[in-house]
Amino acid sequence: MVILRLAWASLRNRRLTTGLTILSIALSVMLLLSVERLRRGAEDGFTQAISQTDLIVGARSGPLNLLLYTVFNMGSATANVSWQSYEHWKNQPQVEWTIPYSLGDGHGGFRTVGTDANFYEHYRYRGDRKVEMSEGVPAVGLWDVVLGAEVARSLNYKLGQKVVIAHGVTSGRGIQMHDDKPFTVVGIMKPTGTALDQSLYITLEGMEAIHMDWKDGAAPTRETAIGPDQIQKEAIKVDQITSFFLRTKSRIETLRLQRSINTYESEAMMAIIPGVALAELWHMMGYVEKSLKAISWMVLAVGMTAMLIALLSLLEQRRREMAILRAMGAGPGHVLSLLVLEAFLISILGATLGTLVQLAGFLILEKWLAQSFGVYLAGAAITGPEFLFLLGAVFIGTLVGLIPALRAFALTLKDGLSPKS
Amino acid sequence: MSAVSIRDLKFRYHDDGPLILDISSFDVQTGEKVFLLGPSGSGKSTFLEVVSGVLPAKAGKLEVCGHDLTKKSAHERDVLRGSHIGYIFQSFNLVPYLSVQENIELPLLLNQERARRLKKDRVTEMKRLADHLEIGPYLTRPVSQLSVGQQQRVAACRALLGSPELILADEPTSALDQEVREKFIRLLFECCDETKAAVLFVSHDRTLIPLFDREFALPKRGGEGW
Ligand SMILES: Nc1ncnc2c1ncn2[C@@H]1O[C@H](COP(=O)(O)OP(=O)(O)OP(=O)(O)O)[C@@H](O)[C@H]1O
Ligand SMILES: [Mg+2]
Repeated sequence: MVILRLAWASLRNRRLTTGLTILSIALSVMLLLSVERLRRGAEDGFTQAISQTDLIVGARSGPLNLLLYTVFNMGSATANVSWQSYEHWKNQPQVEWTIPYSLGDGHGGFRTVGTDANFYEHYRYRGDRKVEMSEGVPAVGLWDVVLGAEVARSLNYKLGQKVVIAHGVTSGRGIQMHDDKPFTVVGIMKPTGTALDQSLYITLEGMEAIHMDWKDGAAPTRETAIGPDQIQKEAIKVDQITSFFLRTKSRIETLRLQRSINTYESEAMMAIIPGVALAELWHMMGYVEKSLKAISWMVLAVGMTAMLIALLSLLEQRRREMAILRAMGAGPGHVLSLLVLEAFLISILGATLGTLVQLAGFLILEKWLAQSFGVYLAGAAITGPEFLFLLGAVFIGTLVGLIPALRAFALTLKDGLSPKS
Repeated sequence: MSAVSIRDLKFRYHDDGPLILDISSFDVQTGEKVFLLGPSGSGKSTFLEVVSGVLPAKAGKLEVCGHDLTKKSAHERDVLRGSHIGYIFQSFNLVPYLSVQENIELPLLLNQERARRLKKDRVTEMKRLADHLEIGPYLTRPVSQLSVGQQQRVAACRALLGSPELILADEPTSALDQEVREKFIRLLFECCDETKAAVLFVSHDRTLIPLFDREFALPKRGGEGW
């Protein structure tokens, strides 16, 4: 009790140094927690880029490749899936829904996806979030296009705008443009913080229509070209797609269905389980995570060093004080617990302050982070490991207090008591 | 039992340093008030620090309140000092950021044995003694806001509270004028008489000698001093 009173009084007496030390610990704790929370946000954004889809199916290639070009707009498919095969799997009794995806074209550096109404109805990311429109409606008409939030923002497109699709490219300006068949923006999606924001969405028929007069990968000549008003959506027969997402009626069907797709005789196809593939991919990028963690720990080490320096320099000023306490009969236990208690109070105040600032900061910045960087702070504000880390920081801080305490005993009582000071 | 009993005590700061203290025989009885004098540099402060266990006595016999200090560890001496000795330092050695009351109570809070010797509860005893030493009105003030004379009475109050058997005082009156000096010593003695505490008092001021039971002079050591 007396030690607590003494510790409190002496900390209060040296408000400035105490305050600065608390601040430096608070800063490092805050930084570490922030890095950790951003890392979790990034991981969630990554591994939760697609959810509720049980299988992603495409032509046989590498599983990573399939995942990358369907979910992350990276790379491209080597082959397509025929419409018959798609229909075959779509109509299996254990299948609840499918979302077809047709890729290959782009606009202004963004990718164009041909899909159907199922996309707007069934696609889910980050748990149970679905695709929503901030303006307009989903693309259902032949020449309708819906813009991902990032596409609309960076190209500054509005509803009603005409959009020309570039052939065969997803980035940069295409050499061949489907400029004979422009699309009209009918909807703009809300930001999702996933690669969805970076695409334009048209119908499968629209995708087919801009290519229907093409022959063997060559643009139509003036004679063979078919004008947009001559084409009816109903008349178009889609004969291939790039890939599709699939949801089974019951999760236990997934593995069996995956196996039968992978061994499908009529066409070389491949099905992957997105959750597993995403986790593997994130694991491969583990060095990002590790370097973020290393930075956090270095930051904390600097904070602790600052505290040690502050405590040691305080001790120099406090030799006389320690000597007085010993002259009054304070034993080593008293002096030790006094200094350690002070270090403990400083670290716990610092850790608490840092945590509060971090929580408040993210509360304020949450929207901005989501909108500007697509980092969503889903999940708990503080997780178990982070709590353990906080305890660890307080523990280490308290141990640091032992160093000046042991030094205090190396100094002789007589030196401290001399009235020279 | 005598408060202090010394036989053939020798003290040096360093093993190869000069001999600072060489006392063949010295005793202070319970309740006895001894005036310690000697030229500057003769080792008066050193003597008090050895008696109180601040400095270790290695050779000879040194008994304080029935405990042989030469056989005690630094920590045991700290505890012994806290519970049996009240030390009034020349520079008072008050803890600057604590209030008057907190400073006075410090030895009691740090030493249970000393707290046990209180006849009434801590605050009552402390107030009574503080009133007696005329610092009652300042108890809640920070010590840094007191005059030198007031600080000195706080130091005395701290040394006296809890009735230690031996009071050591190292030139506590040097900053005071003659009149206040005598008044302080009378006050101090009144308090000591109540508890039958022995007093070992260092001062340059020989006019104070008549107030004491006895004087003891430390010889000036050859070549030392100023
Ligand atoms: N820490 C120390 N280390 C070595 N020698 C010391 C130390 N402190 C004091 N001395 C020496 O011990 C001798 C006695 O010093 P001390 O302070 O006891 O004298 P004093 O009688 O109290 O003098 P004064 O009346 O001036 O206070 C002096 O010669 C001094 O130089
Ligand atoms: Mg002296």
